[in-house]
Amino acid sequence: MNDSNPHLSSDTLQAYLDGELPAEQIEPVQTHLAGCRRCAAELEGWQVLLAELDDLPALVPSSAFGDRVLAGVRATGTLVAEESEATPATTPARPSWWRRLLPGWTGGQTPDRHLTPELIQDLLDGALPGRRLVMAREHLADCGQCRGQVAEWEPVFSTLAEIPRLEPSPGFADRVMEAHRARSRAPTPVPAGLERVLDWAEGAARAAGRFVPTTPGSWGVLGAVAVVPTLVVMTLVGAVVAHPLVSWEALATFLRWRVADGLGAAGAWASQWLIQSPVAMAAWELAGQLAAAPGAALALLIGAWTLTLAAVWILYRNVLAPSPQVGRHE
Amino acid sequence: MDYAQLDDRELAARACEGRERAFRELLVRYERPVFSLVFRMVRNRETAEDVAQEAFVKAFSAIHTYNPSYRFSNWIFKIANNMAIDRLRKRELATVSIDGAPNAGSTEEEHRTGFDIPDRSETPEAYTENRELGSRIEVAMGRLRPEYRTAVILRHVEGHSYQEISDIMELPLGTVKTYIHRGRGELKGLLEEVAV
Repeated sequence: MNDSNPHLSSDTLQAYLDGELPAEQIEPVQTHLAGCRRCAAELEGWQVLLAELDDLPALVPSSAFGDRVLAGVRATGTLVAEESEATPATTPARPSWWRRLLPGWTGGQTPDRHLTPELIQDLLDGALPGRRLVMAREHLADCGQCRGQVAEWEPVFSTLAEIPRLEPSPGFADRVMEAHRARSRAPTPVPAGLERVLDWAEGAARAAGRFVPTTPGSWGVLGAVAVVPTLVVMTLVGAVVAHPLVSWEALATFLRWRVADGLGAAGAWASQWLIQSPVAMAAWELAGQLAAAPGAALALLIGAWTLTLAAVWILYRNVLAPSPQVGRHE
Repeated sequence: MDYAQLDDRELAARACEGRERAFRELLVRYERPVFSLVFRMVRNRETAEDVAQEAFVKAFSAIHTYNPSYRFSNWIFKIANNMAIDRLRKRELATVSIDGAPNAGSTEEEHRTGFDIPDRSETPEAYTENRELGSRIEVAMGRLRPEYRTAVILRHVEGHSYQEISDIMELPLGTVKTYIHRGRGELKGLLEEVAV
């Protein structure tokens, strides 16, 4: 299932039937199957096919086939007489395809191959996928020897399950944090007060984030709401301009007047504030005192010129003068 | 804000900003499992605390390199396990590579590729002297090679999936399964020996 194809792939369906699907995918697949007739039908088809494959009969060659093969082997001189006598008279039944996938499959009522230790471990560890688990259980039901093997492994697993976690000594965490502070090249830890402010801001941002649209539909609604004021204003402007006595030139003239009036009023307010402000009064008084003491005024003038020249020099060195090449070595 | 409610990724993001409470919360969550793994690897409490501490400090100092698409637990376990293995190598513990090639296909091949050297650092008797690691299963676990031990501990003590263990140990999934199977097989034999 992907963006281009909304249906389950045949690989997914087979993995689902084989019990090989990862646990987190099982529920979505089941949900999809419950609502999708096409995939449900395909699943049914796979189930039928697997059942047919399971029931395939073993194909046995003619009785003379074994003799012919042995005669050929004897002719090569690699087969001794005792071994030829040990050859089974009949070909063993062929296990069905999925049973052959199971390591250690017994192949019938009289087990000749048993569950491997790995399979027994996976069985006890809960690591066997569904179909293999069923087959292993079926085998165990018929095979006492393998049941004995499982019984031998069970104490190992029960012992492993009882292993506890071991605890570090008290104060371990504090020592780690201390070492971290001393050796870390991480960013400087945020002070506790600032951290609280950051936490609060983060919480507020998170709360605000809940109102952020997440779906195309909700984005559409938000966009529509945002456009409404613009549409209202444009409609009103259109209505005003449509009046026969109103023209664009008249509107521009009106706006120019309003701007000029606003600038004039702001200038008058600034002039009045400057004249009446304590800063202006202090500056006026200072100027008067300097006029009364020419030496101090001269010193102040020289100081101001010195600072100005220094500022120009710094500006020249850092901005205008060519800087030496600085290499980066990683 | 209650940091205990945040998941590991969110905590790591805050730790990147240098928030100590985030580091502390991560430490509270993982100090026991990490120490537990390291202790069973190096089999000495003081050394284990040193290694676990170094692992946390290293992880915290490099928190900005943590990839949030990766599980934090896997990341910290990987760092701790690598440091424990390094420590074992430096100390030339007898459990390292004397039991045959880890990739041996059979028990016979494993014995053939192995060699015997005297164990100068820790003996099974020394294990039993250790009160915490003196139980039957702990003694048996101590005899496993480090790779098997890590895999078995992560599986049975920490409950990680095979895939997670594969990520932590940076090994193919099949190799991890083999390690776990062989480790448990050896444990079974060792436990039977002790029982006899």
